[in-house]
Amino acid sequence: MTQPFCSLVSFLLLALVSGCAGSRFFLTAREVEYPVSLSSSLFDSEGRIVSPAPSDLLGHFEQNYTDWAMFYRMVQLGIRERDLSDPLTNEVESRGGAAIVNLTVRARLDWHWFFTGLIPFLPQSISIAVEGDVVKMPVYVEEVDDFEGFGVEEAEEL
Amino acid sequence: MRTLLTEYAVASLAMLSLGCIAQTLDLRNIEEPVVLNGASVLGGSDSGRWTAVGRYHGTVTDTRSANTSTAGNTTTTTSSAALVNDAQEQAFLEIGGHENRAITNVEIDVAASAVNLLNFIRTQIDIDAWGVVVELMPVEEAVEEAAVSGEVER
Repeated sequence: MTQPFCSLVSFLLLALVSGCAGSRFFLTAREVEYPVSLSSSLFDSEGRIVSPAPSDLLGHFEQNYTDWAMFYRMVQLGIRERDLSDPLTNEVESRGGAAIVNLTVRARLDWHWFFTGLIPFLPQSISIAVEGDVVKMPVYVEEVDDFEGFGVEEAEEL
Repeated sequence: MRTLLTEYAVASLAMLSLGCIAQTLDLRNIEEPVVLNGASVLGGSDSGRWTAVGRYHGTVTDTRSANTSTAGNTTTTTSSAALVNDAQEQAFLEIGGHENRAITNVEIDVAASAVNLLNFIRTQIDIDAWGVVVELMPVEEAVEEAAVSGEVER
């Protein structure tokens, strides 16, 4: 075989078997009736920051999604935008809570991306796990600034 | 051709050894509220008490790649992993230390991609969080402002 022919065959083979895959979607929760925080705190009705204590914990919220796409994300097989409002509201109401805190979003790309990256018409998936803690109304605890104990001066005197 | 196939096989093995990848958007260490909706006040209506003061954008990105090349009888594979996680840092820069600030209306954009070019294989996960930085007005101030705007309307 001549050199140009070999190069052409190599190029065609490369074009046939190389590729890329992907999946993408949005998570929102605009209509939740209760506060849903990604951090561990919220404002109380007086505008003070409150962090629920372990005793305020009523339960754990967990929701898993898998979304699929093919042809390098161009064809979305699932819902492009996931609204978490209903599952979050239902979870808070079913447990008689006041809010959700410590919400985390975990995205995972499984090992089969390796094959879907090779063949563009194979669907590619991404798995999402949303987790949080359902809590009851936390009570504001005032921080004690002045510690009435041994100070530096007293220690030095001793 | 044989070289290309060897490179592909070696790069494939390198990437398969990396397995599946996963990343988490985790803001649990932030002491101020970061909420998905517009309500970050417990047990009451907080409408009209917020003033938008900025925008928030945080990113978590995990990239892994393997690159194989051949020179003579030697095949070399370089695999790399890069992690960028500034979601918590950006949130801290926007609201950290401000007891009347919060991030609201957070939207999360999750994307995954994989590229396979035989001797170069790459996979990536991106989690982007977008939100509005707001300041909470004290109740008295909000009532005064509502009264003033009511008078102006009249």
